[in-house]
Amino acid sequence: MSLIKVDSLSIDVLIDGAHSRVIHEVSFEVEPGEALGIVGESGSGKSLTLRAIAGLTPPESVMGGRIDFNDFDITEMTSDRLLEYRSSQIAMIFQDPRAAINPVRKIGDFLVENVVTNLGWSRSQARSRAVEVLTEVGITNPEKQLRAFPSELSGGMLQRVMIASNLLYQPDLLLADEPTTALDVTTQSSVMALIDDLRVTRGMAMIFVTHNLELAAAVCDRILVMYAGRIIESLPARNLHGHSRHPYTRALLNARPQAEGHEKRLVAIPGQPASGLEWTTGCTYASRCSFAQEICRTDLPEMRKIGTSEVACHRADDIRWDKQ
Amino acid sequence: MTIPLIKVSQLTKHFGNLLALDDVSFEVPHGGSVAIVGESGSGKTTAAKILVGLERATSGRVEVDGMDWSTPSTSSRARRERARYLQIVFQDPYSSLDPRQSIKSALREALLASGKPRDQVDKLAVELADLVALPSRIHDARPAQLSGGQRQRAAIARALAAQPKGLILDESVAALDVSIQAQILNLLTDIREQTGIAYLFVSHDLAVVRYFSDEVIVMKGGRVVESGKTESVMNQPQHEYTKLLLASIPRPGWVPGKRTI
Repeated sequence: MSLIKVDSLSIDVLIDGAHSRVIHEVSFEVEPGEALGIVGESGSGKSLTLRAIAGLTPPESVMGGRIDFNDFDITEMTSDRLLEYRSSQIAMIFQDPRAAINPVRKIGDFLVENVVTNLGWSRSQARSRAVEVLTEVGITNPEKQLRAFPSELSGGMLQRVMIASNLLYQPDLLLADEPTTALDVTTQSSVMALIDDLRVTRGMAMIFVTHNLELAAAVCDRILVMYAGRIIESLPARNLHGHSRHPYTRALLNARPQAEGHEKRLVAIPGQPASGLEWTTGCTYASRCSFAQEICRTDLPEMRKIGTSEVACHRADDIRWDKQ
Repeated sequence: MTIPLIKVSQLTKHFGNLLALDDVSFEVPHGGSVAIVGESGSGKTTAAKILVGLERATSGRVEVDGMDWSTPSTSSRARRERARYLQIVFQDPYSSLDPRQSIKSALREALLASGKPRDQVDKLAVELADLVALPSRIHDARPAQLSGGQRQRAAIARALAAQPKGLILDESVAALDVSIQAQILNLLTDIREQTGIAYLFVSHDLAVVRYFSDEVIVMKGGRVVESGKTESVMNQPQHEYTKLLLASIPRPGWVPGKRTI
């Protein structure tokens, strides 16, 4: 049984008084303990998809399809059940820890708030557990840090506190939205190692949203690539470099300077990344795609299995990447 | 001996008790592409700001094309003169574009400020927009109506209005989507080939620096820890901190880890 099963998810958001669809037909599953990466550019819908799993869709938006957590549709949850789901079964980390932690309350108050208010723990029990988890995320002198204000901690330390706040209880699923994007690259490495280690030792599943394909490939089991509100490719993370099938996935990888490369010019993708609002009858990527043919502009490509990928591209089986 | 475009010697900068720059020296040759890399608090942005007069050094010497720029210019005429040497493009193009002004009008204003004759600014503004590949249909748009990539193109065009000899790029591509980042880096490469402009590229992204810059200066805690040709610094890093930075870049086969020096 899947931990999370997203089936034909669509989200319509209110823009200028009218509902417009930004997420189209998104379906995927996450097994217990599995790490799934969702990658894409601005407007691809990766963050909105993640938020929908936490039951955090924008106000007045309309959701279609279903999201099952342990076979229970979260859109059917009562507000009490939703609170229990959010406070004890899932955990969330966002890009900017400063925006997620109340700046005028001490670190200790932030850490114990959820378990005391929502899970009925005693303050002293919560506090001693907070000391343990701060130690676990590599914060030295945890008793002292409990009395510190968020402004006294660096970005990397504060993100560790965010992670720790999710470890007081035993969540089954970690939702991480660009958790290291605002951090320095050396801090990113150690924070990612920490998340990875905690995830594996606790058997937690993770959905990791990022624009950084290399990072996603390094810490995830499977990768979903999103474009314009749709999933366009799903493949094992180890196959991302070298075996991806969608021209957009290839183009994204090629647009980055290669770590060992000596290229004279980067292979840029022409035009702008499209958002889910800009859907067309055919493939939304066709206007930027160098392989596009007539069918790409008229018919929406269905997801189909080719090699180790599931891919939504009419041309996925006749492009020979080794000859490109 | 040829005179470099930028020569910084023994620069220090105190913010209260904090030593933001500690004995920093480097050069940028005419037409060169030099990168300053480092993490938060390394002093890379402070160094860039001192060069364009947005911060004042506590001590040390700044020379631009052989002229002493160590003290801020006092007259608006002198400031205008300096603007013809160095311009800066920031990470967030909003910080250098007036939200109420159309792109064309922002470019006209920058051209007038750099002393171009009034009867030519319309023509020159179109040329600048063409140079950065901004389509004519958006010349009358305001910054909020543009995409992030288009806004950064507009900010680059504005900086080029004075035909500066050098452009300081302070994380100018860091906030852009990967596909747009590649477009802007290619644009900057083309402009350098066409005009012979020099770049001082301030960045935390070593993969981009490797591609974009001929020389690299690695900073940590306000000090230069290593500098040299990009190829040799990246292939045979000498300082432990440079090794740590390089080891921290995710790439195929990479495993995150707690790396320290």
